[in-house]
Amino acid sequence: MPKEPVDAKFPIIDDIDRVIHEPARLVIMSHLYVLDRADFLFLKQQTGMTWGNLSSHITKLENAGYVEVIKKFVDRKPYTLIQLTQSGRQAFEQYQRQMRHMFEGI
Amino acid sequence: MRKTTDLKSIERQAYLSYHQDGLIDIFVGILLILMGVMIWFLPTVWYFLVGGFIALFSSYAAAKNRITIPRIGYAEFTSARRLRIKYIFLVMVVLLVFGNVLAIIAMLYPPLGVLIFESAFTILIVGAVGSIIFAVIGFGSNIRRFYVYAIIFLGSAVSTFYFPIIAVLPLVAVGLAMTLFGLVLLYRFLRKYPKESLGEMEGA
Repeated sequence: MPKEPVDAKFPIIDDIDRVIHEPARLVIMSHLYVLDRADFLFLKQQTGMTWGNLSSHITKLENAGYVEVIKKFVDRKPYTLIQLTQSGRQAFEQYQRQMRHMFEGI
Repeated sequence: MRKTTDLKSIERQAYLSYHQDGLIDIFVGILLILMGVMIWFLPTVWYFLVGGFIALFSSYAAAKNRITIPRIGYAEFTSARRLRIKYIFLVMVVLLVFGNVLAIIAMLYPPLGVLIFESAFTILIVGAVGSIIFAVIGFGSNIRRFYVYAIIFLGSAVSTFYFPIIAVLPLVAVGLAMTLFGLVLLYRFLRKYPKESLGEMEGA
């Protein structure tokens, strides 16, 4: 008899957004959730990730439609800023609710 | 990765990282020393400090752009955080205007000036008001070292009341403490966050 996957036994786990659930991306999403927007350098310093690591996770989040990269001039200097999209914000809030629900009553 | 646990701490830590550079301490410290020196040597022209205030704060913004942002990056905080900063700034401007109005009244009506600025308890009132301002800034901005500055200001005001050597001692004492501590913080900040080279950033 084939072994039943864990996700099938616990549907709540199956519903968890794996794009956000990965620790490094969760840290990035948490920062972008509490800030309006930030540049790569700020996120790098706050998260302690390397440039390559940060860049690849941002790309994954961008592909999922959770963050958008925008160019902005601040005091005549160009900045590449990253911010959560509306769907990214909603997905993060949904993730929070699911995790809270999962540990409820413990 | 950093050891932050909840979203509130993440936001606070992100905000406070902007003030690890000690620039706010250095600029406010220099402003207070200048105020003390001007009030002591040139009491009739101290209202020119409004100009000094504006000049110092525009230099502060320039210093942030040149020193802090190239090292720790740029972020825009939520409207709630920005509102708190605006309130603190507004309180400081209102107090500065109020102080200037008092100084102008004192110049126009010297007897009133004696009553306002030369009563025996003036220094204690100044000490109490000043320390409350520092505490409010500390509370509003989450920069806890401002509580220490509040204690230094109050302590030096009380010392001046009992040992009236220099009337502007509280301003100069707290100004010196802030400037020196700010310089230490700036030194540590520059060592901790060297400027990121363009090559590294492009390699991302």
